[in-house]
Amino acid sequence: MTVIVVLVLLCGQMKPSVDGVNVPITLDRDIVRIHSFFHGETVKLYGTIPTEIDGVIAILRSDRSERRHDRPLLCQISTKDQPALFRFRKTRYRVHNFPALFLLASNRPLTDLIHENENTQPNHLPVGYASLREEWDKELISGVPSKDDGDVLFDTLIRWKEKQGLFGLNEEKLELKDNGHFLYSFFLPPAVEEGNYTLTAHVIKDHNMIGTGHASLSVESIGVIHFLRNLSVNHPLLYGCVSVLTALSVGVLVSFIFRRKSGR
Amino acid sequence: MYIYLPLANMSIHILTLVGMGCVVGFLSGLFGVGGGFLLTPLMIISGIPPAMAAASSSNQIVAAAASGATAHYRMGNIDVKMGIVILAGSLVGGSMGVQVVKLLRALGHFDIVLQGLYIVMLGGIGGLLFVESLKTLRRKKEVFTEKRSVPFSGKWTPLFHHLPLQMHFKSLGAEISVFVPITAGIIIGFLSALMGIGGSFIMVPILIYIIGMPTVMAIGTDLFQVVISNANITIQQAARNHTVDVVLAFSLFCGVVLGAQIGARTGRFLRGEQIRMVMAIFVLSMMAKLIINLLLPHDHGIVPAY
Repeated sequence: MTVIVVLVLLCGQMKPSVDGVNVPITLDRDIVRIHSFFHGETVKLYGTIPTEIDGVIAILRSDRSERRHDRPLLCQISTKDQPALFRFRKTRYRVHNFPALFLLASNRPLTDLIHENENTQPNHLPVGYASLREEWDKELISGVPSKDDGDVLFDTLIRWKEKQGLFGLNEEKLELKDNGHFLYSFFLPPAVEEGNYTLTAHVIKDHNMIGTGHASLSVESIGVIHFLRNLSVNHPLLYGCVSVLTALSVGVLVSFIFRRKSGR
Repeated sequence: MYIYLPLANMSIHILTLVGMGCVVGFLSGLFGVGGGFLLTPLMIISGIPPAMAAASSSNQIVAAAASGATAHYRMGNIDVKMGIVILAGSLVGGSMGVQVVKLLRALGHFDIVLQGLYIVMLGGIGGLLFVESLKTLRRKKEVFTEKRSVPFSGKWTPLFHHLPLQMHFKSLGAEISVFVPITAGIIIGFLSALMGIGGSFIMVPILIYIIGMPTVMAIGTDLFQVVISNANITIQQAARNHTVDVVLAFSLFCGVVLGAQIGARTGRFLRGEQIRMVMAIFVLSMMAKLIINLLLPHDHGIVPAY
């Protein structure tokens, strides 16, 4: 196992760190393909710890520069925990730039690795959902805004993404080996969108980030799925016609099959 | 084995999809109904987004109705002239329905409106079936001696002579105003687009009892207009709302075909009132599940914008 990990590390993409110690990390693949029987996929992270450390935080997230992830979301705010039936009166927002994917894994609870007050300082460690607060923006469409709408929207969007498996904080799940390696398996759910994703591993010592490593991952659709998605987005009218022609052909074919069987 | 739905952006077990189609097809075969009104709520209950469920159901209906219409065409059971008149209405109604879907989605109300409409419709159909089958089960002996009720075919036909736009129809052997079939077409086309139904369970009784068409002719003519009307809805839903998932529609259709064959064969061994009771319980259970969905506390709504 150790030999395989070392070989993978040697062959993989090892990028220099942004600051501090270089953390060599690699993923067991650099592309995930969405095919007709796709039901999510596991991507394995391997890394090497440079020196004596307290912990590792690995974050797999959508690229901020990726245009394909910038699909706006329509969100509405109603009274908390009200049944859907009575949700007609609400404030509506259009949300931009909310990350498509944010999966975090660490070997210890985040509160052990980071000082609690560090998240409130300007140069806080780029971890946890709190780090996403500055990234997105909202545009009021209708209704009466309230000052806590931002917080409500942020929490709702996170819950919504968590339900789809696109967001997650997996504390104490990252495996830190005695031989200086760390491992984690990220599960990309079926709802994962096409585009580029970045994996960042932060090495923490004495509540400070002493090193970083990066790897990239791409998610692409292939075959029929790619064809249908492409047609639906770029040529929706043609997609509609193809859907109808397919249905008509199948329907008529079935009719002839059963006519032969019933002898009509 | 899971199958990936490219537009719904989710994967679902192939047996769940085919199974849903099979259940609806089975009931369709048993009762001779289209099944669109059962399929859409079943998909919603299974977690498929309501807009995607309704639009993909329309696509599935094109296949199912085309299959039936081909058979009826061969047997000469289609009044093409009447079909075109109804189509004039249902194309307008369907196009209006798609626009309303787009508007309701933009307002974030579509899911609630759709589920509300289904609760009313399933409650009505399920309630009627339940009461009727219960009555029949109670007076079992009378049922077997009872003559089948003869529809009051053409009772309203003289009324149409006073309405404008009179036209002669071969299947009726008389002139009637096109006002009624066009109006029925508009209403049913609108509901089809909104709810992902074929609307035969409304249109066929109108053709038989109000317009006075022979039953077989009414079924064939309705299927003919359903094919074109739902083709129009499918194309418009795909172009305007991006909600037609062809993989979903095709998988469901496979199940429906299989289920319909089993249903048609099983129907011979069951008594009418028993079948109706099973159907009533099934329809009322779906209605109850939708009511629970609407009454349970929900998160604030989020819809990906296109």
